[in-house]
Amino acid sequence: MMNMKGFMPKFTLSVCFATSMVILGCDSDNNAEALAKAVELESQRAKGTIIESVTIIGATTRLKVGETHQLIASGIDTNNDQRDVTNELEWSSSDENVATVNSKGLVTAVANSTEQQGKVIITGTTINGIFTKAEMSVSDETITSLVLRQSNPVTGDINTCIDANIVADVSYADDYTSLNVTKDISFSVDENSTATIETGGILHTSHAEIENTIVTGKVNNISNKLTVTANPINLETIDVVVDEKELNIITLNVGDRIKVQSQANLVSTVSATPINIDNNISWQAKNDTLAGITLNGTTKGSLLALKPGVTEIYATCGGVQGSATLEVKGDATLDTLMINQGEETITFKAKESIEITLTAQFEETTADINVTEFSELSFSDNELITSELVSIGTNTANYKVTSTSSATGEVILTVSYDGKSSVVKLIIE
Amino acid sequence: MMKTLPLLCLFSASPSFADANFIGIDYLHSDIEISDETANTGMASFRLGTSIYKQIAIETQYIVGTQTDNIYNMEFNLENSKAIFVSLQSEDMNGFSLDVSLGYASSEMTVTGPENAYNGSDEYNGFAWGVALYQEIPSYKNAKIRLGYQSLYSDSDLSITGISLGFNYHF
Repeated sequence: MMNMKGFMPKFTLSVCFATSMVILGCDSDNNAEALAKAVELESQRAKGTIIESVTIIGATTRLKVGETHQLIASGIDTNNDQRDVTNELEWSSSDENVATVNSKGLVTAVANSTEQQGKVIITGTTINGIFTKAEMSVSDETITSLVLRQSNPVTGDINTCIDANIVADVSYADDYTSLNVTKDISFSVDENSTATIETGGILHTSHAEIENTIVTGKVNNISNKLTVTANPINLETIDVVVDEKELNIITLNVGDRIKVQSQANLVSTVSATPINIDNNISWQAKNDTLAGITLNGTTKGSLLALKPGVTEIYATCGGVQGSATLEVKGDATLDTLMINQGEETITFKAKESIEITLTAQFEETTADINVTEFSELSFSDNELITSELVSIGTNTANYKVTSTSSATGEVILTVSYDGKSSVVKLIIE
Repeated sequence: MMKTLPLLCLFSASPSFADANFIGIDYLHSDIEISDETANTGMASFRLGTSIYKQIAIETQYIVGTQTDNIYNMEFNLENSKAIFVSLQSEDMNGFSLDVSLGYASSEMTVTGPENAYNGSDEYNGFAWGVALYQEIPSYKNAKIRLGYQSLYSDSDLSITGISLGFNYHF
């Protein structure tokens, strides 16, 4: 055994050394990517999800140098199911000096080209070799005209309360026409319409009757108009939705905040599935002392339970009203209203801003509630300061109070909520 | 060369009077993950190691495939794997110990299938690591049961890992 103990260290180290030389001498020689593709292809074959046809959405678009454009690929598989295959395709560009495309179908304009109207062909190829081509163009030619049209739905009346898309076909000085453009186009609607339109051409409608809206699209000095007719005839019912469930009864404790959403049910010949209409809905609490709802902005539909009781929550759009019964539990006898941390005076500098938060404190053990959003604010001198409600629909809602000039002075600020008031003196230095 | 230098330095720094050597044999159940699919092959692992400084050891490993597995109609055969590790070993506590190994592995895998599928043999070389638990066998103080986990290769498309169970014998 002693001999073995003497022999083993040298032997083992020799083996270790020899092995390391052998291993480290090996060059990396593998086709993991090709193997992964082959496995994916076999998987799709076995599951019947292999793509048989593919369509690229977003083609025939002109870009300027430095701009990017996302192409979307939609495929139909052996099971006749449609799916987004944008990230499954191998993308390539016919001229990478003009435009490149990455593995996610994002096209980047590299250089302007005057040859063939700056056209470059983007090809998307599936794992099984099915491919389709999309034309893009890179040029800095000037726009000569634009024509607005409906994109979704393409023709006919739009369904009131359902978002509709307005796009433009834009023509350039070199006769190239870029399709489905919304970028850089300033959209607006006529002042007689109740509809609104946001950046990107998304049209929101909610009128109870058939309504014609004149949409104007403008880029530089070139504009075009399109008359869109919103018709509520297909709107049957509206559901109140909480956490993706349609609810008729909502039960909350005082101080709870939830997000209520809405969905429209259209006649079955138009749509078999409910459609989210949060952008178009109008919310109302029958008794707004029991619950406050944020009516606009990104937190629209944020509902805060304020006092115990039972009331109705209404969701209205296109002359159709959905409702849910709201039951608020708990004890909430209002004790005091506290401005910020309870200061009697707040000092700030001229031309600067401060945050004013109103907190309701209750006689019982109910936790304090930020009720700023549902309070009323008044000042003794409206010439010195202005106020703006910010962070609505959240528990950090506050009034941003701003000194409007370099003038100094004192302003008495009064905040009222549920029959009580609280006062603070603002000193502008 | 960049990979070789650190290991050469390690060897040159290690004392030639290493006082603890071991050999080991394990069954390794491999897990070959590719494109959200998995193949599990059976392998036999042979290990040889020596302490170079206190709780640090150099270990070489040779694994040979004993069993293949299929993903759909593609047969995966992890034919062999050669590896060298630096193992950081814990103190024994009531006969129980563990180690963490860092090193380099070269694994050869053959994939065969239909004519229009992938067919070929490739080497997958790169960083490898592992952890292992040891339990001394009371009757044989020099022998330990070993339960280990190893990652032999990993990139964005493919990973080769395995769980092993076997014995170590320490001289």
